[in-house]
Amino acid sequence: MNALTLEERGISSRVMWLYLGTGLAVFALMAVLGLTMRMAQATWISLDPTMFYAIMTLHGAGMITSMALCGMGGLWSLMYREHRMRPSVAYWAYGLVVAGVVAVLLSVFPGKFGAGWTFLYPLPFIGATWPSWATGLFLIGIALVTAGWIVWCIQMFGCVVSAYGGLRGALAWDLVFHPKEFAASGREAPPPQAFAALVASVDGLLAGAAGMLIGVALIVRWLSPSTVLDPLWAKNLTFFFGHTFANLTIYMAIAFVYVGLPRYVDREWHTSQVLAVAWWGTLLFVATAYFHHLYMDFVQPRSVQYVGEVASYLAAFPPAIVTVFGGVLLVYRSRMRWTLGSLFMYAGMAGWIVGGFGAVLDATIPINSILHNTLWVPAHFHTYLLEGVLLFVLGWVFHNLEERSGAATSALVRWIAGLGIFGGGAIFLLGFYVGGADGVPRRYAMQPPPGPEISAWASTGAIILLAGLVVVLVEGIRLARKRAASAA
Amino acid sequence: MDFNQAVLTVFIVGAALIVAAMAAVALTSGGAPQPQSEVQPRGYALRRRWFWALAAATVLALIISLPHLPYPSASAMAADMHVTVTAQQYGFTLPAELPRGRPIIFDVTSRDVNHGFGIYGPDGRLIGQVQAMPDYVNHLPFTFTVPGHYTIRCLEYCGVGHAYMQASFEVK
Amino acid sequence: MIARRERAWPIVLLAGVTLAVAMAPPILEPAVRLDVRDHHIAHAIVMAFGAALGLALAASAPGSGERPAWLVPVIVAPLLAMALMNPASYEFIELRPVLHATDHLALAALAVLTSYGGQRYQRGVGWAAAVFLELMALGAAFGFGVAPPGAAR
Repeated sequence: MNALTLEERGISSRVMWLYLGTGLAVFALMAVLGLTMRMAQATWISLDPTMFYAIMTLHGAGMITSMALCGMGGLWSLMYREHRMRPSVAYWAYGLVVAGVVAVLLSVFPGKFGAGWTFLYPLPFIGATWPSWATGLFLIGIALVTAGWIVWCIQMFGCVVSAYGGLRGALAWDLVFHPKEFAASGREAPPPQAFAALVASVDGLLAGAAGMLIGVALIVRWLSPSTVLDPLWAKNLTFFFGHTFANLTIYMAIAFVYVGLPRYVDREWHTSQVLAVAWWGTLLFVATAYFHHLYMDFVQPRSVQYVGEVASYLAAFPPAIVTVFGGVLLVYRSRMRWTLGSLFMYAGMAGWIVGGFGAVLDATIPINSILHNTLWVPAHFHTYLLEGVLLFVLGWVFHNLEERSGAATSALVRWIAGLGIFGGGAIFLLGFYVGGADGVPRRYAMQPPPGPEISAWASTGAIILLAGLVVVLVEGIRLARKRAASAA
Repeated sequence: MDFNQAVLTVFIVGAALIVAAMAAVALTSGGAPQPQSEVQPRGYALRRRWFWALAAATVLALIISLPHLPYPSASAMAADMHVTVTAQQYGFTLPAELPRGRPIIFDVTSRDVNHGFGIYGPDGRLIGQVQAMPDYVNHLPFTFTVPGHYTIRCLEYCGVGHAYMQASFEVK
Repeated sequence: MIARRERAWPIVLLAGVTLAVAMAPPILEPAVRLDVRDHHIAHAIVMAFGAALGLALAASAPGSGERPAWLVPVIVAPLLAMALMNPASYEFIELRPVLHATDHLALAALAVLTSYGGQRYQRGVGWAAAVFLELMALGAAFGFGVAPPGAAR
């Protein structure tokens, strides 16, 4: 692909910063809500259950959407360099997602919709302490977010199949099975980030189909209460949609590391047969591992329970063996420039593997019997999201700020930010893991002992973590101003 | 150390090892650098060994875990004592007393939304669970070997009273 | 001109089969009542033919590159199709053969729009859109208006 012209760089940059800025702003708001929940569980503040669960619903939906927005915008701009896409489609996708976020926000404030972001049928309709309009608005909001996601996936799918010679080329099929002929043809394999785009778009469309199906069904049920839905069918669709969508935020954001980390070590991260096959594995395992959410639904066919455990274990292979190991190999005995950008990208990989280890333990069915729906579940996904995806995103943001300003962060500020994010983060996350192992249930407005005591520690950790993020924000603004000043 | 604490310990040790290993590699970047062309062959050889080690650990985990699934067998369903459990917003209906040492099948269902039937032992430890679903009956096999007071907590978010949804029974 | 006629024949044939699959059952067997699950599957079959027709029509359409306006039918058509698959409407529609046939025709047309629109948006996308639509249609058969076995209600 040709290098970007000045105008094209502007197009790419505007889309990327719009998505990243919105995603991070939504993240910040959701983080405050999350801290509010933890402090309520620590009994530091008093929150009535209706409000607690409304906040919990918004926090879950908002956090995943915020990270999805960051991944969507970042990956769009990376893939724009490979194949020129029409920015109008990116703006339409953004508009639909943001409209959905606004609808969900209004359903909670003032609607107090509190069925959880998983909207597990028939909960939105039975025993509701919120008005019916809030249910409808929430469901429409999720449908709009899903529609925006589908638009993005369609454009990304079109991009990868056009840029690399169809699906066969996008998969690097010939590189893997006919390497000599492939090398002789002079063609180039897709770069690593293109595999992230392919998997996100294909598995994303599958998730979108499931999300649209259950979304339409629930909206019909909201309009017509006599509509019959099978609760097990609804549960399968809901978790396939939610699991896949949440997982894909990680697989989108890793593209930042593929592109960004090599720039700090002046080494290459290239596509190999191993990398291609690893992403084929991710394509399959991300979609099939979702069964691990239904281990405790004993009415599920026994065969899919086995599929869930096997796929969950195998899903760990591509990140552990190829991507993270590859990142570690890139850094080993290198002339690594440690800035906030590179530190976040590298540390995020550790967070991903740690969270993955917690997930793999919970994905073992006999262990799931004593961990399912305890605090262990938020333990592993908060690890993935806070010390994985968020760090990949922040790493990319700082990489861009550092490049544009020609400056980097002082060692002192790096240490303070690190202590906050990793020290505070460790205390916050351990609160979930210890609570989970102690059987403290998740999604409890009032926790049984030792929940409140653990929540107090977790809240302290969260405050330290957020303080670290504030330091990062201030440093980000400083670097952005430096760039603006040098450009002026 | 009980099973729950063992899982936590394994996790903490594993997490510490992962972080330590990655930190150790990061520290090598402060020393004498090597070109990528020299690092890669040794790295790829190590990756092969890492792959086989992870594969072996995966097979071992499957061999150990899959024979211990909580699902009932057909013979147990036919032979064991059945206990009906009904969940609804916000309580459980089940017998006040259950026998010790006798295999039981809990037949768990819900009158309204999804709930979670979570069994906590006399020591407060979570020892088993199953989902309580509307329109379906989930069968949870259990044998109580320790006498005492057992608590049931709801383990599937079910509405504003979710945290207060409890029941209890005695095993004698 | 002869080559164009030869190219058109398979499409005309496919269109004919699609029309037949869509309209024949309601017109020729108006007394047949399907349960909701089988009715959803029947609709998925109608849409499969429609999606195939859309792909065939798009094969001879000109142009390459990205045409964003065609994304509108790709997103909207499947949603309208799911709305037409509202199980509460099935009993009413089954009693009215002409309305039933029109309903099937509409589903087939929406499937054509989905896959044709996808291919016109960008080559290759039509196939993904067709799969997306079929997965939704078949997925509906397992729970949309379908009670679990042995359910009280």
